Amino acid sequence: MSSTLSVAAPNLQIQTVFYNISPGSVDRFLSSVAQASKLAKAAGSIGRVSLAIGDCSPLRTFRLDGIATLEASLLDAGIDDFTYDFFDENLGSAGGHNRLFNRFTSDLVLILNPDIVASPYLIQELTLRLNDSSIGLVEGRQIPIEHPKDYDVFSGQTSWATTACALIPRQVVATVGPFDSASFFLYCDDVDYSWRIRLAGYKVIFHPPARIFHDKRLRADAGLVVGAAEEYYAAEAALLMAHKWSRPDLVTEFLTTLEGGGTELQRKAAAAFRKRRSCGDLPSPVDPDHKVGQFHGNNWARHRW
Amino acid sequence: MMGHRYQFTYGEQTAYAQVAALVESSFERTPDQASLIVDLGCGFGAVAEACRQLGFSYVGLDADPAGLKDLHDRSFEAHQLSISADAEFGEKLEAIIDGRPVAGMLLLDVIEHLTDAPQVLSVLHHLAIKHNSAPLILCLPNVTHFDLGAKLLQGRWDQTPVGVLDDTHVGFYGDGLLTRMTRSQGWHEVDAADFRLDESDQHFPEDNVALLTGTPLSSVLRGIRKAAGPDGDTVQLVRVYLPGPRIEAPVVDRASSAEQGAPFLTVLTRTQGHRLDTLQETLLCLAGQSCGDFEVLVLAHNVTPETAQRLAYLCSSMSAAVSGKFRVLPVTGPGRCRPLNAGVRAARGRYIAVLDDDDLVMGNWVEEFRNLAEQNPGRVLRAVVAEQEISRGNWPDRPGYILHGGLTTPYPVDFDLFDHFVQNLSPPCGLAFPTSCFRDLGICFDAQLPVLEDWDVLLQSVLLCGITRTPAVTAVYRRWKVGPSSTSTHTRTEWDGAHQAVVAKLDRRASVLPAGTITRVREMQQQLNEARTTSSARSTELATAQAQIATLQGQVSELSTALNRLHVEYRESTSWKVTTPLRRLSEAARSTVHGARRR
Repeated sequence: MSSTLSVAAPNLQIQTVFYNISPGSVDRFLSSVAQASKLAKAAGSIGRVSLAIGDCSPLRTFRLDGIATLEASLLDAGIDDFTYDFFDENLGSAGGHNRLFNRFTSDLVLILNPDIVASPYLIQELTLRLNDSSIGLVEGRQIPIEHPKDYDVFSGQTSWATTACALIPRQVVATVGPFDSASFFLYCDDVDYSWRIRLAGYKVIFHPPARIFHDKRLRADAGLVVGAAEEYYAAEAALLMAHKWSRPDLVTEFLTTLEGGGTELQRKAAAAFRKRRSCGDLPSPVDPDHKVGQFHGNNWARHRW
Repeated sequence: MMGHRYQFTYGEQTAYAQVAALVESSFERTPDQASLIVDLGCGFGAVAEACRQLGFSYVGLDADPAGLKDLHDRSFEAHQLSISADAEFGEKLEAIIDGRPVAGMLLLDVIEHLTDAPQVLSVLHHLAIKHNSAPLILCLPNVTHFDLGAKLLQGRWDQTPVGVLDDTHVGFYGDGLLTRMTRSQGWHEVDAADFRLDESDQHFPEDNVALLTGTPLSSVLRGIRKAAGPDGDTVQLVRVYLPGPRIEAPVVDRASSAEQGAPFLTVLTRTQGHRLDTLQETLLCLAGQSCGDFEVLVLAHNVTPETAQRLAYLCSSMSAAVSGKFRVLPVTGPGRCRPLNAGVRAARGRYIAVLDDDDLVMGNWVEEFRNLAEQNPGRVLRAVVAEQEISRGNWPDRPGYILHGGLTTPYPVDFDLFDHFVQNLSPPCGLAFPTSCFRDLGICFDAQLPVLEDWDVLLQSVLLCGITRTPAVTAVYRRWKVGPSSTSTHTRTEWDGAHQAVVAKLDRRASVLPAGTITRVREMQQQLNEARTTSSARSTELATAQAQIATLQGQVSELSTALNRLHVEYRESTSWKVTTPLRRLSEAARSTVHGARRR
């Protein structure tokens, strides 16, 4: 029965990881995802939809006695199966999604950030684009602040995809494996995963018509508002990416920059990297011939602006 | 009976002439002059002769015998009858009519004397229905005339023996109350011929600066009154009604946008259906708002039925959390302003924002507006807008759009009124206006303006309401590099003309400027004076320098002339001519040496 459904309309697991998310954001996320599922099922784009939520927050986002009510409302709104796992520890984005992969039995997995609102047509659009077995990942487009990374305007191919919204076939997850949560706690787990997908021979596709609203804020100079966590983890991730993707020259350069002119948090990140290196706690380098990895300044793709 | 308090005479420039005009246009005549006009509370029957001349039979009814005797003396039928709401009044009235056809009823300068006006209107409604839906003309003083409002502001309420504030009046009416009351009793206005005078009988003291036209105070007050509605110069409301269904409405109109269940914000999104892809994104951004206290009116302007269906589908397919907030409002007719004004009329929110079908907003767009409104209610709300260039282009599988460069924030964080007098530095998507601006102050999007209607509304509103702002960047204005937009579809002439029209409109009346303006103007004037002083000093220095240059040039010219003269004299001298062979020999030698070096 399951395989028959897979041929006609693939089953989908939607998964997301919570960390101290506001109730309002949760409502908007769940409502939009359920609606997108409902419309996609009605259009025949997908079969059953499972929604898996992993919670890394210090306290449960959903009270135990409210789960049944929530599940009932989701089932009514367009979701077929619902699970909620309170991890009781902060596993990070990559670690949380890896745990949720354990529940992954569907044909496709849609990884979403919880601070997004899905377009009603999101799932239809993503599955429409996943029309080629060489495609390993289809990424949705974020509004109101579109990511500047470049993509091929004819094929949609791009260097990497954010997992704020990424649709991946089961076969690809089976081939590539889980996120490298040991290396990447909060940032660049998606860059690394995208490059591993490409290293495995698949394409990573950016699909502009598949829209998500991503709740980001702007500074007065139009730059993105970022928190202290990003400052630290982004610095750490940059060093780890350079190391893992066989760019020791950039490791040296980044360390020099961070230790010489970085903020206190960035210097801490550099120190943490050195410690991991001295303990032999770094991932083994891959892509020695630089067929996949792209380093453009501090970016992992050429940017359009 | 001359000298009676209410013995008014008919005249061309009176409210009675207006009544007669409505009688002529609204009451049906029969060839035999049998149709009856029943003048209730007729007094001395000021319109009796006019009615007769128009071919009607006239009957006057009043409690005061003085006027009835006068009517009898003028050969008119008249009966003593007190107007009241009891059943006996209706029966007596029927008895007087006595089966004759009723062309219509008059209630002139009566309503304002009644404590039970709605009930009387109800009795007359019953009577009218029985008599072939006979129309009713009401004529009564308008207490919303400008003169009364201006004097009230100065603490004056001057009752007089007769006139708008006759000291026997017990009811005080303007257009709003009259309309609500008549509709509630089943009377529906079908025509009007209000009697208008710039100066009512309340236009005193004659030297009052608030009343005198031409003073800035009067200009400001008159401007507000005029914008609020058309009755500022109406002395007498003169209206014709036909009987119909009763429409219940509260006599006291406390209606505001703060009514229960009304949202904080109404978002007006106009679309012609040409940009459904970007409209989807606008709607999606609204679905992502952290504050859900809003409604969205998608103003479908001149769209085809198919497009209207698609718009309805876009709205209905939004998630359950927000789909109830979206409504499609079809609007037809020319002009960019038409859908906006239709949206304003349909808005339920306390504030109104305009978000075009290609604008994007951050998740805190509504929240920031609401915070501002809570801190400074009643003001125009302003947030910072980012900008991004966009053009039509292709996505991998379909036509789409292309972004040209990242976000920028070219618009100032602070709102400077004086800068905004010169040009608009506040895109609409960063603004929200109190609904009261439109509802109570009569501000609207000016259909005469081909463009810049948003700037016009902004300046008018800010001058009356003030403005409060947040430094938060909450919206993205997308500027089309190529493709249809107001920038590209209107000529430079249209833009310049609209610019001048907006400024001229503001200049036509005095304006209220915010606190702190005097200091600001002083600073600007001081800067201007300093610049003028500096410029003047520089001009003097320049003139001095130019004079010196001219002198020097004259000297140079004189010297040059003298030199030329000497040169000529020298060439013509004997010594120059004698040494010519020697100079040629010397030139030949130099030429030989230079030629050898070049090789």
